[in-house]
Order: sequence, then C-alpha cells, then structure tokens
Amino acid sequence: MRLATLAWKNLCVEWRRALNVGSFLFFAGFFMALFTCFIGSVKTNMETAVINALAGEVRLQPAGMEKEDLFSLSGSWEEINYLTEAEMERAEKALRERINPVEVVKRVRHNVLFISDTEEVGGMILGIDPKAVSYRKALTLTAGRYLENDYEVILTETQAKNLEVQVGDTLGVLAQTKEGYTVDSALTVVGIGSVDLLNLFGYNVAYTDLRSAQELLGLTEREATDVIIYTGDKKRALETKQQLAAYFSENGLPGPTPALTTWEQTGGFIMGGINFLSILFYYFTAVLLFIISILLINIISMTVLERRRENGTLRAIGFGRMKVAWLFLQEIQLLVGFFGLLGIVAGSGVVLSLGRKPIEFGLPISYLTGRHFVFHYDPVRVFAVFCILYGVTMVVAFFPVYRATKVQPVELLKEEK
Amino acid sequence: MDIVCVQAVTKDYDLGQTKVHALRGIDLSIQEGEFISIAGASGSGKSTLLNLIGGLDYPTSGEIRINGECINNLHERELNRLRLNTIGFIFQSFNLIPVLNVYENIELPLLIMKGVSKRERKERVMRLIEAVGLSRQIKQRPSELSGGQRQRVAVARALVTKPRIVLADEPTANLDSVTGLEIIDLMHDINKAEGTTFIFSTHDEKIIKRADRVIYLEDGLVKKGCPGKSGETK
Ligand SMILES: Nc1ncnc2c1ncn2[C@@H]1O[C@H](COP(=O)(O)OP(=O)(O)O)[C@@H](O)[C@H]1O
Ligand SMILES: [Mg+2]
Repeated sequence: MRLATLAWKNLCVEWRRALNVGSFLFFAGFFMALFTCFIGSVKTNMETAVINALAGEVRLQPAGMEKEDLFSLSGSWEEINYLTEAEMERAEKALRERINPVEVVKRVRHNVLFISDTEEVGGMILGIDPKAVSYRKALTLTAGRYLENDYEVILTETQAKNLEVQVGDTLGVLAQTKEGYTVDSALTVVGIGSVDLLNLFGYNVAYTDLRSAQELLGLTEREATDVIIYTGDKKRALETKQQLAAYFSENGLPGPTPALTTWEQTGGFIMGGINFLSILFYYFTAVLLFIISILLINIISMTVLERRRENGTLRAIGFGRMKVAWLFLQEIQLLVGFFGLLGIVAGSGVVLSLGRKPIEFGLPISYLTGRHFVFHYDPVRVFAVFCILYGVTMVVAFFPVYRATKVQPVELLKEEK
Repeated sequence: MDIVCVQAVTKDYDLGQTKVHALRGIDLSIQEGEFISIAGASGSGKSTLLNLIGGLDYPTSGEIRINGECINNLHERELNRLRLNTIGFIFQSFNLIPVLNVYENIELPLLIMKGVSKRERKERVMRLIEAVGLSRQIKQRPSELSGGQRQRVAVARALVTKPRIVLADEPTANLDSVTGLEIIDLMHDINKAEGTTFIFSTHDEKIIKRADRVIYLEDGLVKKGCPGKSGETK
C-alpha cells in the first residue's frame, strides 16, 4: 500500500461522504464553465456585431478622420468628408494588391429626415451595396427582407413605430447634399430590424442602398464616405491596417494618405462599453467564486470535523500534523480532479450542444445576448476555469484542514460519551 | 535503566473557572520487558497518565523519561518520531481506519517509517497477522470483524513498528470478558516472546490478575500498599 491509497480508499469506500464535497465541486465546475462560456460568447458576439454592422476589420476614410467614431459623430452637415473618385480608385488598388479581403463595402452615411404620411423623424442612414452580406449577419429582421435593389430601406423597429410605417410602405426622405442643396427621395421600406446586440449602446441606424445614399449626399456613383473592409480575421486587423498604410506610403501618390482604423478604434465607444461589461462580468465571477469558497470552507470543515477520530489515530501512530493535512488535501485534490473536471466536462457538453443552433431570447436578456444567441465554446477559457477552481479549492481547503490537524491528539482521541 | 520513568508528574485540566487535578504527583518507574497494569476506578487518572507517557499530551509539572530521554520539552516533531518508533498504542475503541482492510491497517505506521523496505514491510505484517490469528481475515475491513478481531488488528498495528513500549488504554473495555482475557493473553505472549514492555490500564479485576505488576491509581495518586499479583515493587 502507498499513502495515497488511503486517500483513494477514503473516497471510494466512503463515497457518500465524498459525494458531499464532490457534488458541490461538480456544480461549481458546471456553472463556472457555463458562465465563462456565456461571458465569452456575449463578448465575441458583440464584437462580431460591431465588425459586421459598422466597422469591418479595417475602415478606410478620407484623411484626418482617424478619430471619428460612428457614435460620437456630431452630424454636422458642413463637415461631411468623403472619398473622391481618385482616392477611391487608389484605395481599391491598394486592397487588390495588398490584401485579399472577404468583402469590401463602400458606404455612405448621412443624416436625413424621414417623412411618412403622419410623422417626421430624423435619423442616420448607412448606404451600402444591396448585395453586401456582412451586415446581414448582424442585423436581425423582425419583418420583411434584406436590401436587394436601389431605393430600398430597412428601418429599425423604433423608427418604424415612430413613423407609423410597415414593410411595403413608401417613405419620403429629405436631406442636404454636401453642397448644401436640399434633395428628396422616396424609399420603399423592405425590412424592419436592428442590430439587437448593439441596442444596449443605442445603435440605431437605417440601412439603405448605396445609390440612394449617394444621391442624398450629392456624391457620384464612385464616391463614398468610407470603405469597410472585411478580412474575416479580427485578430489581424492591426496587421492589415499596417499593410495598407505601408502601401500608401510606399506608393507616394499625390494627395493625403487616407485614414485607417481597426474595428476596435472605429467602434471605440461601443468597444468601451463591451469592455466595461466584461469587467462587470468578471467582478460578478469573482463574487461567485468568493461565495463558492465560503461554502467550500464550510463543507470541508464539517467533513474534517467528522473525522476527528481518524485524524487523532493517525497522529497517535506517529503521523505528523502536516502529513495528516496532506492526506486530507490529497483527497480533496482527487475530488476536485474528478468531480470538478466532470462538472466542467458536463458544462462544456451543455455549451457545445446549446451552441449548435442559436437560442432565442426575449427582452431584457436579449440586450446582452441578442435575439438569436450563439453560444461559443472556448476551450482555453474552460481550461482556465478548471485551473482556477482547482487552485481556489486547494487554497481554501488548506485552512479547515490545517485547523483540524492543529488540535492536540489527546483532544481528538477523547471518547465521545 | 528504566524504560519509563515518571517523576512528580502532575496534570491539571483547565476548565475556565475551575481546575481539574487529574494527576497530583505521580512517581513510578518501569523496566524494559515488564507487563504492567495501571488499575483504578474511572476518573482516577489512568488515561491521563498513559497519554503523558505516550507523548500525546504535556504534563503540567514533573518529568517523564522514556528510555532515559526527558520528553517534557520535546518539540512536536520529536514527539511524532517517539510515537512512531518507540511507542505503540492500543485504544479502548480500537481506532482502526475504517476504509482499510486488516493488512493495510497493520501496515499503515510502516508507510511513514524510514528504512523499512517493501519486502520487510510485507514480512512484518504477515508475521503479525499470523501471530494475532487473523490470516483468514486479511482482506476484511474493520466493520466486518468482531470486537475481539478488531482489537487483534490494533495489537498487530501497535507492534508492527517494533516499539519498545506498548501503551493500551483499557484495551478490553469494549470486549466481553472471555475475549478481553484472550487479548490480554495475546499481549502477554508477545511480551514474553519479544520482550516488549506493555503498560495497560483497566478497572477489571480479572484482567488485573494477568499483570506481572499492578500500579493502583486513586484520585490522581499512586495508591501505596495495594497487593498486585507480584507486589507493588518488583
Ligand atoms: N480533557 C480533559 N479536560 C478536562 N478534564 C479532563 C480531561 N481529561 C480528563 N479529565 C478529567 O481528569 C480526571 C482523570 O481522567 P482520566 O485520566 O480520563 O481517568 P480514567 O482514565 O482513569 O477514567 C477525570 O476527573 C476527568 O474528568
Ligand atoms: Mg480512561
């Protein structure tokens, strides 16, 4: 027999007692795995929404617009900046030669006045190629369809409600061109929906076709306010941006170098919010972990107290205090290694099976999750959770165990009368 | 040289307001190889005395020498070593490890003993299992054994480290009288064969008679002039 056998037998033979601590560790592992994947998924989903709905991995704009954030846009009519035909040509060449984007979306954003039969509402439009697909991944429709032709618009639910219009209705639009002329247009409402993951941040824009938006801003067919570049790899956004910047400086073409921003910069305001949210989540996790620790200390204290006699016997035989403590800790180590891991595996299983198709959520949870929440399984996070659970359990277990072995052996051996 | 020497030992238990004087000045000496009984009524201080000799507790005053070494001021770690190497314990309620079988219970102290090879471990355990007559129960756990069999396991466990002294606090109190006598006889046989010193406490007259020498305790003091089997002083 080896000493570890004693720990092992204590668990196997006294499995009911082992289940006490074990089942707790199972649930702790289970919920922590679930929770961490949930947090990770919320963050990833929101980031993806930021990229798909407004930022791309990299955005290209006229020079001097680096600081512009779609959310802090003042909407000043005079300061509209756009990419001229020459600049656009140069940008397209750069993209062709340097990177191989998944999708490039020329975009025109503008502030307009929507006019229905009964109401007038101001709002922001994003004009994009009706054939663009990336925005569709972020934009959830509650009615109608995505853009297909020119002179179409997708309104947000709030806009549709305020304007009292439905899918199929025609909407008047009033805007000022870059030269200051007033133009009007008529758009058909083909869809109603919004980027619900960004609702929390007040992201509220209507998507329309590029042509209409260009007309409303007085741009030619080749001009746009910005170019959204989708590379499909958000982790390499900075690299892509630097590649493009290098191209512009190497090919010393006339005119100022366009402004380039990564998705994290473009969506800076929202990203700040998302980061704050995840800090909040981590704080919450810490509190959860604290509660787990307290409960764990209690359960372990009780189990160890139940075993005074065993403790005392070992001490009388000649086992040192630390040796006895080590025996108890070995048991707990086996427990957390088995039940904690089992809980984490079970939690992972649940995440993986839930992640197979989007889960429907209503308000208010949908503020965090979107209406169709996609659960992502993140093995790195889950492994980290296991390590944390393991570490916390061992540290936390040490105190009751050590306290129990500190008692004089006579006290432990006293006959209970 | 005396293997155990107790000089003017007192032990008080502090109960907040009052103090219990469990031992009030004990002097005794025990020679190697003795088979000796500490007798006395319940509460007379037998357990307290055995615990002090075994280094499970510290005396309030006085001196205890084991094999010439004063153990009063020993560090906890040295007391552990003393209990492991020099002293074996047998308890009233057996105190076996419930999840271990007969073999493993007996082997347990050897696991932390240095310099005992795997083979020697096995030899010692097997020999003791045979000596206490449990060859057929080797794989059984304590819950599957009778009281007498459990105490036999405890005797074997106490002896497996080849201690010079075995302390047994009322080893027969939880056994019927026949079984109790069997255990005492087993201990006596080992004492005769191996020369191991046995000190056991009891308040059972029949058990007392088996001892080579009896020390009577009364209210924390050694009672003078009481006849033992071979007298108070040998
Ligand atoms: N841990 C303790 N705390 C307080 N009093 C104790 C303690 N242990 C023993 N005593 C008291 O010391 C006296 C001697 O007890 P003990 O040595 O157990 O006697 P015996 O074993 O002969 O029955 C008794 O009065 C008992 O109540
Ligand atoms: Mg007693």
